[in-house]
Formats: sequence, structure tokens, C-alpha cells
Amino acid sequence: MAVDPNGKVWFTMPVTNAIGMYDPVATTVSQWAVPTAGAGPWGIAIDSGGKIWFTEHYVNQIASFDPGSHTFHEIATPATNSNPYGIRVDASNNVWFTENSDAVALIGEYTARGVLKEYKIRNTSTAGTGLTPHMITIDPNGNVWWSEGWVSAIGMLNVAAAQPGTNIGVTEYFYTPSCSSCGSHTSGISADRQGRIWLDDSLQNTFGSFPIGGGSFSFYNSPSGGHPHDGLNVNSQNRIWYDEEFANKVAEAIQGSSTPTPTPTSSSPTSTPTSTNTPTPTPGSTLGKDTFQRVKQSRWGTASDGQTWGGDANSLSAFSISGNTGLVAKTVGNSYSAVLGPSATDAEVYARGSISSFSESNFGDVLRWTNGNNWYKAYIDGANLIVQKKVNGVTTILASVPFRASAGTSYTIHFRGVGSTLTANAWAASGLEPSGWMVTASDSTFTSGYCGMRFLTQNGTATVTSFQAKWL
Amino acid sequence: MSLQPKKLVPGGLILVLFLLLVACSSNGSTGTSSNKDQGSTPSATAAATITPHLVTPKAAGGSAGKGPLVISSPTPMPGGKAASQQIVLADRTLIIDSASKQKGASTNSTLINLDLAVRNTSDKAIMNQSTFFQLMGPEGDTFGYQYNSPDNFYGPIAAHTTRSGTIMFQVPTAAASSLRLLYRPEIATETAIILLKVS
Repeated sequence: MAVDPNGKVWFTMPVTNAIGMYDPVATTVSQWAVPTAGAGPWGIAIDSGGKIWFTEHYVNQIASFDPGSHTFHEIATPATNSNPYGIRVDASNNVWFTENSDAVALIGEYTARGVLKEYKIRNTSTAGTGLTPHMITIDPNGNVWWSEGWVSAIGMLNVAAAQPGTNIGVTEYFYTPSCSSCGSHTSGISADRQGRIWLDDSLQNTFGSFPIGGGSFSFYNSPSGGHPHDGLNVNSQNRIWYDEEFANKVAEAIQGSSTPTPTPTSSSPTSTPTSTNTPTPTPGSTLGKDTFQRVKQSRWGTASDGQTWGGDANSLSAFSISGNTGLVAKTVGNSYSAVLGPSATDAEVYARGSISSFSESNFGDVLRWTNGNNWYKAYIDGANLIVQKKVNGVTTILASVPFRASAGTSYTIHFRGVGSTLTANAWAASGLEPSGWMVTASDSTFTSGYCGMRFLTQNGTATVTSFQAKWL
Repeated sequence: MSLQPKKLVPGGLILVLFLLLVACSSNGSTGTSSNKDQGSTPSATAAATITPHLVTPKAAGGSAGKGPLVISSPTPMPGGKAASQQIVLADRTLIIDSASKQKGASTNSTLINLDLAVRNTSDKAIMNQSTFFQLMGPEGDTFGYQYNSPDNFYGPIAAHTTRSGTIMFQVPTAAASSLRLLYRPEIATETAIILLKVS
């Protein structure tokens, strides 16, 4: 909630899709329906002109409401899964907000001039990391701070150094939770006027502070436990107020008058690297190899080259080793992946195997795989050799050529990716590889990723006898 | 830095708004914490209990909007698994067959497997995109990272046909409880939030 200069209290109502205003003098409540249905009005803030700003958590928008004209203005983020959460307005009326989903994890700024800018927190992918930018605040220097949800950290954007589209100016500060089995969620955040950022951790039942100039975290137990969550604020007297959500209480912490001295703890700030070093590939070297010559076991375990299979190969019971072959059985309507070796840009895969039935089933090689929803694949389905891509869950056939294959017969599939050119061959394993490429496609969606295989077997079984991936 | 004993103010005026919003109570009881302090400074302690002053404000106008369909008490489908649910929307039916979890690739991650189907009950094609499906965690965060999905699951669904499969979400292990599915299709009025029974 937020209080305007006239003492009126503004709040969001996500379930009924409205914002409300409580007038403490008249003891009345007014409400206004948000234009977009099911928008999930969430965090709320007020600018110096009295305009109300709020995030629309479910529909990837922020919005403003003019109390004078009773009009709304909604602004969409570029990402359709950003789920904006916390929101604050700085002294220049720039609106800052968090894009909460860890698949997005950005800091947004809607400037006073009406321009939407976004800042990365990390240069690496945040999908699946638990980095969920949560609440947000502005320190007395005008820099932006936010809580980071599930990664036990807060982040700071040095606004003077910030460049949209990059994480320049961003520093993340991590702490080590004292209770290792409790989980950790950094929730509320606010700045005092004495140079400290205050935060709480709902699962640790703690609140604490961090110096805005850097240093160490100091944490205190919340006396009632009670899950201190999003509603943490510091008032003009530097007193910290926060909600104890499950204890049904509001807590107030009063700072002493002594000069602040940061207390060293085990929690150290960590600056986010601005680049990621990757090993330089050696053309022609082997990325991964497996002959499957090992004892019967569940999952695929360790390949003959000593590397551990990744993807689904060591997590799903569909994968096993038997008869010195790799088996993938009964995936039903789902497709599962096995990947081996380091990530690569230009690479090729040779894989040899068979499948017990091609009925709504297929198997093949994958290149530039990052997860089950993003890859290139060359596969056979009994009637064709197909080059396909899957981007954020959506598959597209890039090229195909007729290729009749029989159930139970072993085939070799050779899939190569160089730059944006994807080429593939398939042939009966008893024969020789065709002299030219059977199918060629061009696509630049993915530039790097892992090499492996992907299987759709319904109630049947795919049997793999050899796999090799090479850097090109 | 020193920290004086902390006062606990149950509810108070702030809670009045919460009463309006979520009808929560304000019994104002105090409790103790068994947590350990992380720093060398002492733990804050409870210092006061204040009886909240409750105000029942008058409605001054306006109306509620169209919120999402919220299903907080899932009812299993007849003959279905305990975690099964059927959510009937205007032009489609969402059928959740089961929700289960397994260890993720890293020590701190968990995969949530959602077996579901989308049945187009209308006479026109509907959309089916990966961004329509997200998980909401117990702390309010949203997780959109899908580790895997059937290769033919996403894409337009023709009239009176069904698309089914398993979507695998990756979430922090600490967040793998009290999960809700946020289903937000191309028609905003069909947004639904469904509590999942994850086995």
C-alpha cells in the first residue's frame, strides 16, 4: 500500500482486479476497476504529482491511475511473462519496478518522459535460477535496490552508471542464511536515511540491514517469527516497520542512536560478473562419446568417455542401460533428451540406434540444446528425415526429406550445425553415409548449446548403440 | 549498530485495510521466536501489545473489476487421480491430470511435472502458448521456466480438439510447496489461478 500527501491510503486488490483508496478522515473506501481483466494489481506507489502507479502482476504490465480524472494508463513490458511485482517512484518521477519471473528477471524503468527501459541483473540466463526480483526501493542517493527472492540476495543498480539492456552498474549482495534447512526468501526492502538498506527474509524469520556503501549484512530474529514478508518500510524517523504475516502482527524496530558499525558476518557482497568465460573449443576435438558398453543399470549414468549424461538421461526412469545399449522406453506422449559434453557453437553429432515402432514416435540428434524447450533436432519418424527447431516450447519444421525407415532396424543419424547452416544425413547402419547432405536448413535462432539425442517412443523402446559429438 | 527492543503493534489501522481486502482477523496475540541471530547484535524482542482500533469504513463508490478465477479448494475429477482437476472456461477446458515433483538438475532445484490437457470446446481455433502456463510460489513469485514439454503441445488447437502432455517446470526446491498454476491465455477474462496438489 502507499499513502499519498493528503494522508489517503491506496492499495491494490488482485482478486477483484481493482485499486482502492481509504480515506482515514471520512472513513470511506473507494475503488476503481482495472481496465485489463485478471490483471493482478500488485505493488503500488505514488509519484510527486499524486498519480498512482501499480504493477499488474498477471498480465505483464504496469499502470497509472490519475485520481483527478479517474483514468488509467497501462504500459506493457516487452516480455509476455515478466510478471511485474514491486514498484517505486524516484525523486525525478521515474517509475522503477521488478520483473519478477526468473525466466525474465529484469529491472524496469518507466521514465518521467514516458520511455520504458529495462536493465539486466545478470549477463547469464536467469531462467530456473530462482532469481525472482521482488520488492524494490530507492536509496537517498537515488540508486535502486531490490530483494532477489530465492537466491538470498539483494541487488543494487547504480543509476549514474546504468545502461539499458545491460547489467552495467548492477551489484548483487549475497548472504548465507543461518538456518540451512529453513529455505530463504528475501522479501521486503526499504532504505533508511542513515545509509542502510533494510530487508527481511520470510523463511528465515529475520530482518536485517546492509550499508548502501557496501559492507556486511546484520540480521535480527523477528521476535514472533511469523514470516516477515513484503511489507517492510522505514519511516521518516528511521524506524523499521514490517508485517509478520503468519503471526497476525505488524512489527516496529527502533534503531539505537549509536554510530552505525557494520557487524562482520559470513555474508559477503558479490559483484555480478559482466562476462562469462567459456573454454575455447578445439576444432575436431571430441565433445562427448559413448559406446554404452557397461553393466545393466537404471538411467544412462557415465558415458564411456567419463562424462556424465545430462538432460533427462540421469533423472528419468525411461532411460536405462541393458545389453550394452542405451535404452529409452515408454515416454508416452512426451519427448525426453540426453545430452553429453560441454556447450558448443559449431558441432556435429553421429548417433546410431533403432526404435521398436515409429507409430507417432521418432528419435534423432540434437544440437544447441539448452533445455527440453529449446534446441535443433534432426530425426527420423519412419517416413522422413526432418530438421526441426523448438523455441520456448514451440516446434517448427525447418526442412525435411523423404526417408523410409523400419522399426527394429538400426540407423545412423549425422547432424551438423555450422553458423546458421544445419545439415543432416540418415542411413541404415549397415550401409555407408551418403556423399552429400540429404537435408539442409538455415536458421539463426540458436548459436550455442549442448549436443545429444531426443526421443519420443510412446509405449515403445529406442535402442542406442553409439553416440559421438565433435567440435567443428 | 544497536537496536532497541522492538515493539509489536498488532493490526492497528493498517489492518483495517487488510480486513477489507482479505477479511483476516486481528487477535493480536504475541509469541516468541526460537530463531538464532546471525550477527553479533542481540535479537530484537517483543516489547508491547496494543489493542487494535478497528474501523469499519463506508463504501464511497466504485466497483470491483473482473478478477481471475481462483480455485483454492481443488476438487478431483470423478474417477481421476487425487490431484486431478477440471477447470471449465468459456471456450476451453483445462484438465489437470496430476502434478508431481522430482529432483532437478541442481541441488537447489526441483522439477514440477504437470500432466494436463487443453480441450478446445469452441468452434474456433484457440491459442496454446508456453507463456500461458506459469507457477506461482508460496511467497508470491512467479516461475516461468519450463525445462521440457511435449514437442507437439504448444501451438493453435483446432476447434473441438484436445492437446495433452507433461509440462516440466523448474523451481527452487524451497518454493516447491503450495504452488498454484497461473493460467493466462489470450483471453484475459479466462485467467485462472489453481492450487495444485503436488505429490
